[in-house]
Amino acid sequence: MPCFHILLSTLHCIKPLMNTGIRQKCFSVLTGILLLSLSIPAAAFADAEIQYLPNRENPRQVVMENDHVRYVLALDRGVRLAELIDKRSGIDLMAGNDPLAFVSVRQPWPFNDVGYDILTLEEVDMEGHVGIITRHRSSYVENTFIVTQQFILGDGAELGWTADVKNNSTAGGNYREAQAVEGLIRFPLMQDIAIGPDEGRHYLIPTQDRFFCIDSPEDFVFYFTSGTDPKMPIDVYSDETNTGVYFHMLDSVLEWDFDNKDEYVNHTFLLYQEPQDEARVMDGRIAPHEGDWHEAFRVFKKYIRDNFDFTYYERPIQERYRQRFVSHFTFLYGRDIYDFEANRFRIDEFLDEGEANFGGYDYMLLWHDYPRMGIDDRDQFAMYEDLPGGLEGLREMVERAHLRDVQVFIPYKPWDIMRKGQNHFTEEARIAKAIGADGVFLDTMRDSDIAFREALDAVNPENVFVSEGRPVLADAELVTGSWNQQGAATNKMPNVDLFRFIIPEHNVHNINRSARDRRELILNALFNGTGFIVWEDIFGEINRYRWDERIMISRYSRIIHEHRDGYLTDNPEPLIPALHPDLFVNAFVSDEKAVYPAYVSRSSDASRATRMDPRRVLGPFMEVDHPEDWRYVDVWNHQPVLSRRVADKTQLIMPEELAGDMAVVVGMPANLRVSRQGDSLNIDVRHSLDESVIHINTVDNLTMMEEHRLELPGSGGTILLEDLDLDFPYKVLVKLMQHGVAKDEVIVDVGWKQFDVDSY
Amino acid sequence: MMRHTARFFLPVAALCCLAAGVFTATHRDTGAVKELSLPPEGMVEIPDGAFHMQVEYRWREGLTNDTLIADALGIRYRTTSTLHLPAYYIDRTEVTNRDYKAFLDATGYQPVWAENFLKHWTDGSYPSGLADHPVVWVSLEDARAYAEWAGKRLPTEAEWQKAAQGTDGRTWPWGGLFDPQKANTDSEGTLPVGSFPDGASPYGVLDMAGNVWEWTDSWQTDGYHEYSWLRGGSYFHAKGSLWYMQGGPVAVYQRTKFWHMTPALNRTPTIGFRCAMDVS
Repeated sequence: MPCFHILLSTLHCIKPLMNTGIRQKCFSVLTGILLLSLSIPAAAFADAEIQYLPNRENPRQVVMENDHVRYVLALDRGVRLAELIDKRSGIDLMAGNDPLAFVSVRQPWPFNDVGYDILTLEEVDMEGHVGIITRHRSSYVENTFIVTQQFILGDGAELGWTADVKNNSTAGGNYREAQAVEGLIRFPLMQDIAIGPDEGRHYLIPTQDRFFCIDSPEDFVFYFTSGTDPKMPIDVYSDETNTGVYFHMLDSVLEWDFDNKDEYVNHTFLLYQEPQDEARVMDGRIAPHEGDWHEAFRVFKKYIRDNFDFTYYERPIQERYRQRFVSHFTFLYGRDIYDFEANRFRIDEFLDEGEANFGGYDYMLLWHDYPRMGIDDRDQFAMYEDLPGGLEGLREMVERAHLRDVQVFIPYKPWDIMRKGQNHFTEEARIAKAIGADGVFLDTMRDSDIAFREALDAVNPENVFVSEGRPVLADAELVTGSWNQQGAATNKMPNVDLFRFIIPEHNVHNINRSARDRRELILNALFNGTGFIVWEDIFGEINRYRWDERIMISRYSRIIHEHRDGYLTDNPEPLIPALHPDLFVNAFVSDEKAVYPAYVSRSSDASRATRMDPRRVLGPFMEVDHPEDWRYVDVWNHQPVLSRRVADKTQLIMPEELAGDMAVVVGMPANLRVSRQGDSLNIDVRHSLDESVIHINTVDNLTMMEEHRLELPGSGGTILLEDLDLDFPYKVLVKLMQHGVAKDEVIVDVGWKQFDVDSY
Repeated sequence: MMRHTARFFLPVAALCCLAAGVFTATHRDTGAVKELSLPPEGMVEIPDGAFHMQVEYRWREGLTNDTLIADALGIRYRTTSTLHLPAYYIDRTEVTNRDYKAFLDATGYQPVWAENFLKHWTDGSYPSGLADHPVVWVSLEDARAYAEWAGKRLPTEAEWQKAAQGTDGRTWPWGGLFDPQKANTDSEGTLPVGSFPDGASPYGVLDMAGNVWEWTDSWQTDGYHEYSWLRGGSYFHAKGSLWYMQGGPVAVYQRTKFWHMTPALNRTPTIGFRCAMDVS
């Protein structure tokens, strides 16, 4: 299991120069510093360098510097940041700010709020990293806190920073006994730093457990795995200056959880300590950056991926599993799957109905036990044997499903412990083997056990784990797929599933079993590129999907399947910049496909402020950087998207106002050439693709669902419009398909609507 | 004045009727004409009258917000209603293996789907020593077939509950407090029917708590599923998880939804039945 301890805590070469003792107020470490400084190489800043101003004997400031950054730490009532210069831009992020303390700890009476003096200063030097360790008291009074901080700079822009707080109360002085103390803690640098003018300054902050937001969760949230995982960076940035600072917090005993940016800025943390208690209030890293919070996200993502073991994601089965998006929760006691008269599972009819209602299932989860299990001593494994035809009957059913490329998962119930001494793992493996299951659903669990994996591998490594709960990172190494049933997060647009963007190899499935309106849940899956679970029979309680939800799921399913070569990119990016303030766009870009699910928010600050109709997205809406010969279509609304070159970018233009909240803009190399001649369409292909075909589809004017009409060879051909049975909106979708993936699409409007890029 | 008279005389009249019924039953039992003896052998008469029926649900059903069990007020855990039940007879004990063998021998009954039918029997007969144990591994259909042959029928839920509870709203057949000495609960298996005479209901009906769950004439469908309501609880108690179907002692007013599916699962070692018939 990889360890999340950061580099700083593994530094093995800390060189304490002199421990002067806490009662010593003056800096008597000078000799030591002098000795150490002689060993610092004089080269320009290939490695970090440290300097003391005005001099080593009486340091008021410590300058830590390399090729990228210059941090000036003021030793003034604690440790304050006075300058933070990003050498790429030359900008001092602290300009306009007074020097701000990294941390202030005080007791609940009004003394100096950042500590009185520096007690000790030690220097750290290790393989290109330099730094200092400081200790200071929190106030004049006796029985106070001792704050120990460490600041380290290597060859990058990040300043490593830890802060430990200790209740140093001892008996004596004015007190007969050591005192328990409550500390009031603030992080003035993080909370008070002003980047740019007040207008346009934003905060990426944690809100609730596992959620993050920008300024306020009102508009949308990011959601991740668990509060026990590394904390999302806090970022303060400015739209005006296009700069910011991130604070990548790796650990802290404090609760980092804010209702909104005002609460973040004004927050005071409480820390109660018995005498001699010590707590790490901060283990983090600081760096300046250009742009908005995305740099903080990239740092966060890299940090997580660097420490993640992808062994079980590298199996071929996982690559196939990842391409399966739409699942069905199959409660076996219902008539949709069980035929009471014939005592059989009507698998083919069931799958036919799935195709008609939802566009088909990629896999199904057989649910055979709960809530019946427990009426007698048949446990979850014994109950399989009594299903129609026993294990052999189930195996035949699974084979029927496999013939239609539908995988079958079986559940595992860790709570079923009525039979003592049974090895659950080998029993589940026995069933999985006997019926040919493709995966094991871990009921009520969010983790698994390597012994379980090994038991399955011993009979058939070709199956995967999917857990009901959302795994923390360490557990996600073994559990390669999971449900996301955080209804409050997933059922709202445009919320972003950060886990999906950080570990895209993991297969996330949206489900909210008790929801009666799943429209946003479906859009959320389309927006985040996650799977979706159809579950209408909740252990006997029927929760039917509405007709429009069925349509949405069918449309979602077609899009995510046909564009999985984009959606499954290794490097998805959340919320890329758009030219419209209310437009939220995720990006899934691979070599020959770019998928941009876009959502128009109806509640953003911008739309409230301007009182504009927030849904009005028309004209240029985003800029992309793909080859000039790419073509763009909105595959959700079946709308061509116009493009034009602006400087060295491609500007995408929505020719017609979006009919709804959602669009899925897909960019592909233009390979098809479609020309209309009278009542026929001539279709050419510039570069023929192996095993490709051309689909000629139309659009149902009420449902917006595609209807397949004709198929041409991948080399092209000619079709007659009269063969297409066209109706309003008179759209012909010409799609170059290869192995079920769309490689190019031309939308021909043979009605009256024509849009010209030159009009923009 | 009339009101006072009515208040006094109505209960007295009711008591007289009850006494008359008991007397009549006793008299009939010892009557000369054996074939016409009433109540039929092994059955108990439950007198005509109003029954205030309160039903509570196994808690898992309540938790899953089952829309099928909401009452008129939308309360999901409990329904109450006042019913008028004409007099009926109900078996004093559960149908035994011996009884069921007589049925098979007489009819040669073969279920349409035989999976797990009388799974514990061998060569067409029950294991020795189990003659007086309640028959199990029978489905609702198997129970109905027996009842039809016997000239009886399965009791409705209301009939079952009134026979077990009487009319005073008690929790257990014998009274208000649970007593493990009066029912076969949480044990290794079935016991001969009638093993707990002290656990009799107010009408003298036995084993209405524990031993085996009992089918009732309550088959229903919601269009998606088939289910019926079980009553009485059984000897078996799955332990270790709150997700199991509820085991252990089950009060007389508690109903448990049983999802029917494949016959092999519809037959269990913990469900048996008893019969009822009209008094007419």
